[in-house]
Amino acid sequence: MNLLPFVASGIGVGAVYALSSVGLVILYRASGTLNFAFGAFGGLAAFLAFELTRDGLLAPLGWIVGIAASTAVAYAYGRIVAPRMAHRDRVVRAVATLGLALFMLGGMALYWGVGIARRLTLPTDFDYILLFGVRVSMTRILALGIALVMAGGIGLLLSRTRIGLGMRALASDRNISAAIGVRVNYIDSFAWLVNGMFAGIAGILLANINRLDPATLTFLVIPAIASAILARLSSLPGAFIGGLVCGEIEAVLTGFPDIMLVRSAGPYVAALLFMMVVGAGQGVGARE
Amino acid sequence: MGRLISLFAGAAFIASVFAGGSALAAKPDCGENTGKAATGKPIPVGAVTSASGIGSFEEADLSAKAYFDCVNANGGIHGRPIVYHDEDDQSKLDVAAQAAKKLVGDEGVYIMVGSTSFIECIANADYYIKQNVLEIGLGIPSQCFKSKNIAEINAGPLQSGVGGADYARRELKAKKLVCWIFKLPGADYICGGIENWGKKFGVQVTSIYSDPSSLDVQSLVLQFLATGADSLMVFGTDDIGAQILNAAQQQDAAAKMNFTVPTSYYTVRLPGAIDSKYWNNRLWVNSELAPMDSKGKDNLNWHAVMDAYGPKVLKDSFSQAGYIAGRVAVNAMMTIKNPGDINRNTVTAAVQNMKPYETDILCQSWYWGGPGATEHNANHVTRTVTVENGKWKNLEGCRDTDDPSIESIRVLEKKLGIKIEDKAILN
Repeated sequence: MNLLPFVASGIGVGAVYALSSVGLVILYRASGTLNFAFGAFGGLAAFLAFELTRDGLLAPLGWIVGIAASTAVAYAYGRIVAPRMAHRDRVVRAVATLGLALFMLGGMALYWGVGIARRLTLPTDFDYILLFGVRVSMTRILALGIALVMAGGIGLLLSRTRIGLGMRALASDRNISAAIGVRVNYIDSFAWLVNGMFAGIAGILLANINRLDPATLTFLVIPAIASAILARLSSLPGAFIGGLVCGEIEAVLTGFPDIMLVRSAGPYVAALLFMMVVGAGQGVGARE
Repeated sequence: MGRLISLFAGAAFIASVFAGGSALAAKPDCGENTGKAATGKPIPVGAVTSASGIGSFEEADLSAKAYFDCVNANGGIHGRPIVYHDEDDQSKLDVAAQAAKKLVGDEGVYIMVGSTSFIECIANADYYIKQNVLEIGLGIPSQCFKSKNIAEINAGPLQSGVGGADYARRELKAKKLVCWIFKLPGADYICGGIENWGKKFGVQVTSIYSDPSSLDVQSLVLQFLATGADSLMVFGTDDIGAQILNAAQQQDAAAKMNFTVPTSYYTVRLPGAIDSKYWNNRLWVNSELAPMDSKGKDNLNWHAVMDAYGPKVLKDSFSQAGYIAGRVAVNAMMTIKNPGDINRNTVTAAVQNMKPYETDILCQSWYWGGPGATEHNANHVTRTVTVENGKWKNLEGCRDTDDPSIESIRVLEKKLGIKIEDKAILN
């Protein structure tokens, strides 16, 4: 079986996973919080973009409003709720975001409904390049480009700006950073804002590539976490590559009929194997 | 704001369907048509529906409720109003079982009407037999069609799939067909049934079962194309279908394969969720019930009931089926002359011994088949429609699905004198 077409096909979803994984790792590095509401933020952005565009607003404005909304919700959480949880265990902080995710999922399902045929289109959907005999839409190429640019941009921000320096300091040692005067809450809030922005963009892209459904978009966070684990929740280039790898694993497994039924588990199996090979000490808890 | 506009858009669609000047029934025909609200001892009726989880199938039970509300406003069942108890099984077996116990055990419902679920029949078929309660609803897995106490209004995904595949064989010259479905309870029954049909009619059928939680649809389309099949039967609800059709369009898959789909795609929403220009006359949809714009008397009454008592309910074939389920249940209960005698046992007997229900919404009368009937599939005669210029167009009228697995059903129908009759009135 020729697997190259599936490799080409995996670009779009891989790019979304890469974007999501980078967004998760940025926040985790700065605040130690694994954000289970990442997908829900993205879903909010996608649904708002869809509704506003359907109601007659120019599509680009709809996307901007959607991304602004996800960013605002994430920032609000980071400003209001996250500081009050800052001294709690990482697991508790993560579960709190899960609560937010489920709340938002319920809200989206209630307002926009579930199981409804609808489409979030982007102007790049029907232009394409041919790769290994597969039409790869410009939307998917754009997703890859956006993921690359944003990951690169964040890398530059971390290495070249004062706020980036603060985020690296927090990632290195939160207590010492606070002691020497790093504005911990400010940096945390900024990390949440960035997380929300990444989520909004990822959500709109996934809604286009897959479908506009509350649960589908909310649970994007699951494969994104698998991708982030491949990066040991610390490396931004690792998160980017991990996301692409997870997307490709899922796509390529389609070519194996006997395994195809469980292809969505591919990213997690990869993350588990990685953890076993790299070692538990360098896994999720390594930075505690 | 968006919701309001959606509502107006929906109303505009319905209005446009009738732009030719044909009138809706001025007043819905419900039960005794007394015009007076029923005030007697309530008749509890239940339904277990997947309103959340894998999908949302609320149209059928909400439409049954609309009909019951209409009946209650017109004298009820000999003065007794129907109280409808509707539970969401969240697409989970344990929740479906709990819901049934609550309805049958705690609420004491006399009959279940309008249930629509991926898994409810699997969870509750045996329980209903033990409790002597019947269910008239819409079903998906095989247990919905092979159970003594459950009879469905819809043809079911197997019949709808066979109907669509058979159209592809006859009209599109299909020789090699892929049956695709999510790997969920009942999936083997559906694609397995199409494989058996294919063996009888010389069509090579390959089944592809998919992981429901995977986000990558384009690879799935590539898998379809890699089979080299000339036709495809894509199962699922219209939202899943839209996702696959949009991914298929990006690969220009319709130029290489005939896309046939079951009745779950026949909704007002689907043409707007796909590129109707690309799919113009390239998507063949099996329809288990009459076209929504049929001017047949019962179909017009369905519109009238929904407009008056369920204006927010999406009108689709699920809604039509829920309405029929309500009608059948009410008609059966009406045969119990003394309102004080209406209870679960008498309702069960009345439904089992009912006269076939004649309707222009189905291609033949709907029936239970007597107390001895151990399987039910009264609706197995279907139609084909397609999308043309963004609207639904009727392609083929009533035709038996030719599924070899329901020969015993056809034998029973011959005994009962059930005949195929296309009573839909189309433009």
